Amino acid sequence: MTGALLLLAGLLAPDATVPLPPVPHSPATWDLPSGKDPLRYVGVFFARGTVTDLKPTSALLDGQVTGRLFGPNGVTTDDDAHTYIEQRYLGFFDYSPTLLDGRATLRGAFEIDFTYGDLSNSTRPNAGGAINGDVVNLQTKRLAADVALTDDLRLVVGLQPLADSARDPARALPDDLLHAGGHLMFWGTDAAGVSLFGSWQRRAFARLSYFDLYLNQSDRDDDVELVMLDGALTVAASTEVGLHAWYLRDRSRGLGSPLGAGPASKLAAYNGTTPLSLGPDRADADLYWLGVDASHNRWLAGGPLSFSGLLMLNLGTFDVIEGSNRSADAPPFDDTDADLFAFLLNLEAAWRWGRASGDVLSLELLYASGDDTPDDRTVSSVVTGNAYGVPGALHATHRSLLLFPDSRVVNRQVAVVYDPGNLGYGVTAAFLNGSVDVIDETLTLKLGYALAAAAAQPVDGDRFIGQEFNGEILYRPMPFLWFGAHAAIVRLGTFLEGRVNDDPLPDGRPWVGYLSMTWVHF
Amino acid sequence: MAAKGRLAWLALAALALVGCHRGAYERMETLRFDQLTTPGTMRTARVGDVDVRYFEAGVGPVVLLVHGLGEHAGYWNENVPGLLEKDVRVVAVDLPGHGASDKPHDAPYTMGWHAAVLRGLLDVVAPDEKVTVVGHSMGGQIALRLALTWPDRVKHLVLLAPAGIERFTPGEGVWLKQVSTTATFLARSEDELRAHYRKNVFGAWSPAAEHHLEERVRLRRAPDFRPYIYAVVRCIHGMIDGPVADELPSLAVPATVLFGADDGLVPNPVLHGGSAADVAAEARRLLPRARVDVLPGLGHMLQIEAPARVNAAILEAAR
Repeated sequence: MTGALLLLAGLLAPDATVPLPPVPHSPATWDLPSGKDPLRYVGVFFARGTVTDLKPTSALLDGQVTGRLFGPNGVTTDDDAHTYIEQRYLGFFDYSPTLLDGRATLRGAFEIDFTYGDLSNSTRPNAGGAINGDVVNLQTKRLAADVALTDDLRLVVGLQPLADSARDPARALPDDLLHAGGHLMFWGTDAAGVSLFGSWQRRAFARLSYFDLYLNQSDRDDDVELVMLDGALTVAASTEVGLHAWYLRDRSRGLGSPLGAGPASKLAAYNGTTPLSLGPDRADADLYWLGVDASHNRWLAGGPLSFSGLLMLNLGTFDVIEGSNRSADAPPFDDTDADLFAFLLNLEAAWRWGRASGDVLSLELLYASGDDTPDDRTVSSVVTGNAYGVPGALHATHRSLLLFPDSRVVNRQVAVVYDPGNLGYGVTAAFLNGSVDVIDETLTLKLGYALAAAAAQPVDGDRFIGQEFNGEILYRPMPFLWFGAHAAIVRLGTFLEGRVNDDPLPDGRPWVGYLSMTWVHF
Repeated sequence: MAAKGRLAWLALAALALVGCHRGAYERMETLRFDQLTTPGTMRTARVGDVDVRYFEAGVGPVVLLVHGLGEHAGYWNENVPGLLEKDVRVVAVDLPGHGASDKPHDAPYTMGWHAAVLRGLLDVVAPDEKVTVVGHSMGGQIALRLALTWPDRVKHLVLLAPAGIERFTPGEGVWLKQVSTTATFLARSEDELRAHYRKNVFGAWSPAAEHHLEERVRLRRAPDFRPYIYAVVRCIHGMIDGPVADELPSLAVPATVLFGADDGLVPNPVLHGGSAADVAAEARRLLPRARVDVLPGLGHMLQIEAPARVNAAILEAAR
């Protein structure tokens, strides 16, 4: 009652005026800053010094190897520790001419990989040394024009990021690509093409893209083309559902990269992707992906829990063509078409148990189908971009360093399971990661565990691939600059025995440790 | 059409329907700034060229409540009833650019200007009295500026997660101003706002927190929403350009400073990291005579998350 009376007394008091210097009013813009810099730049510097028992044995690649550990790329282990240092710089610049009021932007990006004292990106005889640094190693990563057709629709033409998402990767946040859409598990690289990106009130996204992954001889129908149609819709608070339909037309018959391209190529064997064993013969492929994904609170900010899931069906046919280099002792040509039917399921859950960004416990489960006879013409494991690029996909949420590919690399990226196709056997995997910010947003400690088994039972071996224990310390002494110390050790199962060509599987336990520095500047 | 085909089309149609979802609050009727929930009926004082809205009630020593960036007088709704029961006179202001107060384009929006406006308001509501000034976040920095400039008008400062103690280098200041654009604030979706409120602003989610999120979302199409966002950005610039930390050792007014141990905004998580305890330690160094406490389990919105604890500090200071 007293409060009500006091309230009433306050209401009855008169309004009043006191003098203060007058504030001039003007009809100027309410936008700040009013002038936008037409040229914007973001750079990423990364360096790491590594010690590991991984040992590259390929004289051709001179240590700079990607792909499957103990595979035909020649990377194995021994009892010694090997060291190397390497660095990478990525520069992204956008130029939006003032004349066009931001309706058109040129997007460019370059990459400089510098490896101290050995080859740079396998371009012999381009071996340089740290002392002089005379290594030509500039790569073009992005060169695209981004034009606003309407307020909601943008056309992107040229070399651009290729991701399995409805969002434009050049504009998306990392969490939107890693925990939604295809999670970058199928496509995560750069490619030349044309894309149409639609965005409506930041709640609905759609894209239609065409990429020419390999244009071999322009007068022949020997290209690899990819068409992607994706949509993403916000269906509830912080909750999004996506649909994906992609078509890949592969008429390269193995042409493309130096190792070829596609499931029937050597590249597939190097990367441990889904194989198609045709001996001397080739195939024209028509592959389809149909997928659905859902995510809730993927930024892990709208609440303490986040979930995401992805189900991708992979269908297709391989029209087998007689190879031109068949030897006399080759088996008779078999024109039986090969069929692909496979699927992948990925589920993630995370709990931010503390206030800081690093106070997170996460669990990820992965199942990718496979079969026990990958050498036949019934293909039951998924095909990803890793069958066409090095790498072509970028599964990074597992945070494993050796059992699955580490994303913090320069030119050496080797893992026991490099691709969910896993030699055609598929994979069942679990990843558990827990971290704590000892100093909020400054010092993070992380421990991780990864476990992997083949989805299908090999005829001559066990399904258990291995398990990894890893740890990480990240220290951020200043904004957007991190120093890291990382280590992992893998205990191998027996799955790889019998799948290492003619070499015996080493007894050693693969391990790696490295110090890193990452600096993002703009 | 086969059963499977019909099922597929039904599934697509259902997905399209749920795809029409917009945020729960974005679908609701637009809120005007003069419809925001406040502690009671708001009044108007003409201070200089600006109409300043404020709530005033009670009898006793005056307590001036100064909200933080982007907030309004309604951010004291949890505190005012309890204070009025204890015989104090409460004045809760909508700072210029905020709430239902004027949002002039050419106002400087510096901390000094805000302090001058508060001084003008005090001349209206308590012309002959030293008052207890309670400032939250940016309101804390304004309160400090007010006390440094007119110590004769301030009896005691109660600072809740105050800005102004954490320092920014010149480069950090330039960067903060570069990234604090009206376009960024205008574009924030309900989901993004919810994420920001839950992770950075509120330590514990509550009906009051949900209410403030609803208000913020429903203001998006208010007639003076753009001037409000403009004022918010100008205030950020004002905080950066008007540091007070170096002047604090000369502060002649007694102060009580409270931080939430789980504050997600102080210190700035992008630029500095660390915890509110670090900023509290700096506050103790700069204000050796002040009482500085770090309250466990609380975030940035101390007055909403722990109104009884905050009211106790205010009443202790006001008497």
